[in-house]
Amino acid sequence: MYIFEYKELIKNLVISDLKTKYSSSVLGFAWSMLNPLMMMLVLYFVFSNVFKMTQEHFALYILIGLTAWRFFAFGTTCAMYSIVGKASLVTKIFIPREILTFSAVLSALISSLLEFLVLIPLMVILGVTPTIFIIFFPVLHILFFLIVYGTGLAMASLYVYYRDINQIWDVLLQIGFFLSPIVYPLSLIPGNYLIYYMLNPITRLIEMYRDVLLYGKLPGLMDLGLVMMFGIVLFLLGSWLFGKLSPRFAEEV
Amino acid sequence: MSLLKKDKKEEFAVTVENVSKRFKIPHEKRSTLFENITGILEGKKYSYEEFCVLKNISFKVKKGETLGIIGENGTGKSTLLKIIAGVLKPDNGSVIVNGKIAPFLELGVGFQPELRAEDNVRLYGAVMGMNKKEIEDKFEDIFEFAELERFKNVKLKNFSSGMYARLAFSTAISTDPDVLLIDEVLAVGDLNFQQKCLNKINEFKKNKKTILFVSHDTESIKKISNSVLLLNKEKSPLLGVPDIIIKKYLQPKDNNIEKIISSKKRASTITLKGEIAGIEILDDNGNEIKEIEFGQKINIICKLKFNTQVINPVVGIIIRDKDGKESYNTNTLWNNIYTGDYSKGDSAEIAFECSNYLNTGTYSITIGLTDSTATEVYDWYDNFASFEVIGNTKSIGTANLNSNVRVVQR
Repeated sequence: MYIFEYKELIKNLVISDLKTKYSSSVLGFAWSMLNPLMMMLVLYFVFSNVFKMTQEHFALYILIGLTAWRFFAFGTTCAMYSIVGKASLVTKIFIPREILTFSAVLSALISSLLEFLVLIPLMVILGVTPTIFIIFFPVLHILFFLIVYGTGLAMASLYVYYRDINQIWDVLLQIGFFLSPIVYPLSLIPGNYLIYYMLNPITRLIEMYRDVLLYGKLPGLMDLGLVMMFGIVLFLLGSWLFGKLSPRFAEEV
Repeated sequence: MSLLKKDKKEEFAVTVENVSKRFKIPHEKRSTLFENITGILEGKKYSYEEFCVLKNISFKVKKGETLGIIGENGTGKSTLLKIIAGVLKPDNGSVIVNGKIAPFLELGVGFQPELRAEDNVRLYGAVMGMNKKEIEDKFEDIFEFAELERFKNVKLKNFSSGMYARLAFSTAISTDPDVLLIDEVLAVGDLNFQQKCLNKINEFKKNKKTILFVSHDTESIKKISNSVLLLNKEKSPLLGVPDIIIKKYLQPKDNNIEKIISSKKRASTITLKGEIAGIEILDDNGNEIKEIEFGQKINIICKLKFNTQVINPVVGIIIRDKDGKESYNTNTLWNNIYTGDYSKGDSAEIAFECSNYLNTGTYSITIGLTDSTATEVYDWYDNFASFEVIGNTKSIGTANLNSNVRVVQR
């Protein structure tokens, strides 16, 4: 498996990626945290005052949804650029190309973990004590990683051939943002649409993140199973597509 | 028995069998989904030009050997290296490499300008397949070889291109590969750096590493290669001893020139009071020769025939190189030689005894026959004959000054 064989390279790619992202300074990370926090404040203000949401712990509710969504949005976007953006690693040397995408998603995962880590003191400040069910968090994040990586593999290989995919993906991400229960509660969805709405695995994931972090509940077993299935299918599909398209990467990049 | 077989099999570091590679060059490049959809809607067919770069290439490189690869632009030298490196997939055929490969197709692959030099060394080392221990062990050596110890903490974007190349090269060579693929990367950097690179490659050679080396510089290919592969556009590739293959490679270019040289051209405004009947190039022992070595004494004999009475005619020779540039020009007048008086039917032979200080290359001889003041041209042949100067590997250029090189002070 390429992940173990090239672990030193993956480590270095992730470290250099994070270093560039955070410019090797503490403030670099602070800046990147500011974005979701400001976003949360805006959304909180709009949705609690304008739309009169009365969800319990609405600020944290939004923040958890937002942080989870950010992993999907950033992970898939970084993955998409992972091949084209590192063209010389594709055309001038041979390494399994999956490694580039894998490192990009891994670096997004670490950023996401840091963001979740900042969430915990915020929860305490806002009056929510984390419960033992927080131990399910890693399980959820691993499943989420599978989904992001699978999607990322597909996006990365498609972007090599179709250079406007990024525009399309941007739009799809915006639509996805509002098709997931990030800024509004699930109860807002009309009953007859709920079946279709729940087809989105990220909906189930976000709900489970809230169960585990905010409400101190066990994640639903069916939700967990469905998300896992989704993750595996996406991963296999993404890998298949990547495997199909990668032999000609060096010619197309 | 089986062990023996295995040994025999692994005698070769690189085995390339029947490798072909075609590139598709579309008439209209569609690089976006939008263009693809509109293209389909407009009913345009996806048409492309197929361009065959490599055709059934097969060769083997023994362990510890250095193979030079030459050929004109577009004959697929880089493509071949990329296929061996695994970057490109061949359409047919197979490539087997025994041992760890280090491709130097470009120096500093994956370098991040925003990161410090030391981070980049770790990253590039990992890209080149080194593990953590190897990188840390060689870390100091890398900076020492690159002469950049003081710049470890400097971001790469502040490096000059020379520093960049030095850092990249010294990182790349600190990997311990079995097979090196080098694609003209050594052309970068100043003379001092190039020399350092060449020394390092010689060191690799001594350590029995296998090297595949693409270059346009036939002299350095000659110096370091055990054998040379010449890729041709239409014909099949040639593999063999450096001297012969490089000569073959230089030939097509010389072919045109040879045409000029062999197209012996008689001047049009001649009075034909005397005629040039022939020329001979002889060595010391009086044998006719076509190839001359440096320093060799030769006799250029001009044979003349006279159709009327002439007094003290002037005979001259001009030696031109393959570009038609005059390398040497002399005649009997400048040498104050009285050539004699002749009447109709007489013949004469004038010898120019020369020592060859010309450098390696093809040369032509032009002969002129004029009256005693060199104003009336009796006969004149451009490119009457040609010869080659061979054997000198110590220098290039018009003349061979035969330097005696030594270290005077160190």
